[in-house]
Amino acid sequence: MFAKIGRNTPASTGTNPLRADHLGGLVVAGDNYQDDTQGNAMFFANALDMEVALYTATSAVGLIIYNPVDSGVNMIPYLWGVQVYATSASMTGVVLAVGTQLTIPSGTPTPAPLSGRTLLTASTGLTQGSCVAYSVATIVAPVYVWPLFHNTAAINIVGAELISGDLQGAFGFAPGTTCVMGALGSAGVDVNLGLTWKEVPTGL
Amino acid sequence: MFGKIGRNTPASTGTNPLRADHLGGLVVAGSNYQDKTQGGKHYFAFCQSQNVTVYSATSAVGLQVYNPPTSGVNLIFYKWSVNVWAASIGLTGMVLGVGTQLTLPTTTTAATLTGKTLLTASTGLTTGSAAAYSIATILAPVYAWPLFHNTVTIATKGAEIMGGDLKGAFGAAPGTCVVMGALGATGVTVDMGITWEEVPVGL
Repeated sequence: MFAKIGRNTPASTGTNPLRADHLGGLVVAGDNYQDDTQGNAMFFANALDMEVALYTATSAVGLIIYNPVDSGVNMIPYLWGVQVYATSASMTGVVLAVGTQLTIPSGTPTPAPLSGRTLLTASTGLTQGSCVAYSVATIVAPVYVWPLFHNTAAINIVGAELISGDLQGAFGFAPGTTCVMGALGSAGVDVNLGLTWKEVPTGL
Repeated sequence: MFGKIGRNTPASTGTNPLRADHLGGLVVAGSNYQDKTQGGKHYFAFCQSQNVTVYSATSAVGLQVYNPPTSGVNLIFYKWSVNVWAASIGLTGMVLGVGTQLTLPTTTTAATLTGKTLLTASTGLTTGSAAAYSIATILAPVYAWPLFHNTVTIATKGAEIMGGDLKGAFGAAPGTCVVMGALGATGVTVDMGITWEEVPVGL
């Protein structure tokens, strides 16, 4: 059995040879993310110093990923990471939420500070995918999908902590939805948020 | 179905037999990192006791990994680890930053130890296409990804892990510099390391 080193063209249709990486290792879907990054299929967004709003807020503040109705892709989240480094007494945690969003978020949405392909080519102007990332947007009210972490009443004052995880593709956001990282209890203070995702053609 | 034990030559092109490790296990890209280490494609850099500057600093202190415009490889990041073992009150955390870097960084100090993760000695490890520094003058990076939160006072009891695996979810293209930098303000005597694979562009 053989495997081809290099990409298949076109990538998303037909019957193609199995692929190997540059060392000859078989490329397996759903393993780590090197092949997705290298193949420009992995995207990310961050949002910095956000007074992150409650996940149900229609005036959303935090990290909002909009998958347009006509995108043709499902948005599949993977890694998430958060820094709560200022007092966020009543935030109590951050959750993943979903909202139906059949029209582009209204008002004057604020783009995420940095978003695009995770193969970083510069500090600005990264190539975007089909989804759009905002730090502030007016959207249809989302609902709670999945807990991400609990945040205590006062910020920790001793030691260090990781606030991150990997959803490993366990959830996906179809066209016409928003994916929101929002506060559980009430608005947070100066929270940094990040999320990576793949954009996978619908129906595959 | 068969797998070849041993490396394919040339390694990076064409159609080749699937490979097996020395026990006959199928070599799968992106499982663990043994095959990358064994194949000499996995690199690391470590910087010790750094007064790590804020991630956006142009006079960067901490850990900077530079991918030259002509390298022909992307740097794909995996493991990262940090020890904050002295009071670093204003640090508040560390982040991964990225900057455009089309020219060689200036005023540089080499990383404490860097090269292939297949460790052959305590000095003079074989390096790849990227260069790693503990101090460098670079174009200002921007925030890319949160690594961890660091609290006001260093813990006085117990143990804690400040490390993770980016699992290849981020890469640095030629002409960029990736930094591990402080979130809030300069840290004190921080140890930090990161590993990466150098993958030919376009594969």
